[in-house]
Amino acid sequence: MPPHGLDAVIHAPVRLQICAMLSATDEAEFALLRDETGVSESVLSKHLKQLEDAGYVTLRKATVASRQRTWAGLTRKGRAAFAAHVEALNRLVRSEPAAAGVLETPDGAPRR
Amino acid sequence: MTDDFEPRQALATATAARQRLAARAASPRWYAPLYGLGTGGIVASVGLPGPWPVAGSVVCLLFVAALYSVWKAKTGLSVNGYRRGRTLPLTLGFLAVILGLAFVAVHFGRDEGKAWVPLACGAVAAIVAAFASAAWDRLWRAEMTEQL
Repeated sequence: MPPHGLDAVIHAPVRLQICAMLSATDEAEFALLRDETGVSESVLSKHLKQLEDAGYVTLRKATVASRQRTWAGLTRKGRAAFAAHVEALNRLVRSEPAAAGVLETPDGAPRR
Repeated sequence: MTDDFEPRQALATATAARQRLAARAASPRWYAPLYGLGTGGIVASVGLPGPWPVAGSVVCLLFVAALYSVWKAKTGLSVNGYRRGRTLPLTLGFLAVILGLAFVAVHFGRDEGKAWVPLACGAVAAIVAAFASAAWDRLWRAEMTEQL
C-alpha cells in the first residue's frame, strides 16, 4: 500500500484529473478527456490503459453517425479507489506539516 | 524527477477538473422544455382512449431518448438519472409525481371517459418535468463544483 493511503495508480496528476472527472459522471468521451486534461491522444491513451489495467476504468467503443468514439467510465473499484485517494489527500492536508516529506518517484508514485 | 508533493495542490487539481466539467456539462436552454414536452406527452398518452396509449407513449419515449442522445453527443458525457448523490431525492420525487399523474390520467381518462383529464395531467407533467430537469442539471453541476 502506498504511503499515507495514497493510490499509486491515481496519484499522477493526469490520472487524478481523469478519475475526478469520471467520478462525477457515468462515462465521458475520449475527446472530452483529452481536451480537459490538455494532453495528447497518445499520452491520454497511456494513462487510460494504466487505469484500465488496474481495473479502475472501462473503455467502450461506440459508432455514432459512422464515427467511432471511445467512452471511458469508472468501475465500482475505481470509484472506491478514487474516494479513498481523496480521503487520504484530505487527511494529509489536515496534518499538513507531516505531509511535507512525501515525494513523488519518477514513475509518478508517491513515496516518503 | 523528484518533486515536492502537495496534497492541497492535488485536491485543487482534482476539484478544478470537476469544475471545468461542470461548466461544460450545462444543458442547452431548449433541453428542459423539450424534456417536459416529451414527458407530458407520455403522461397524456397513457390516459387517452383508442390507439393513443401505445402510439403516443412510444413516440414520446423515442423523442425523450433522442433528446438524451443529442445531449450526450453534444457534451461528450453520459450520466445516469438515478445516480447517487444530491440528485437522487429529486429523481425519486419527480418519478412519484409523474407516476401519480399517470395514474390519475388513466383512471379518469380511460376508466371514466373524461378525455380532458389526461390532457390536463400531461400539461402539469410537462411543467413539472421541465422544472425538474433544469433543477437536476443545476444540482448535478453544483455537486461537481464542490471542493473535494
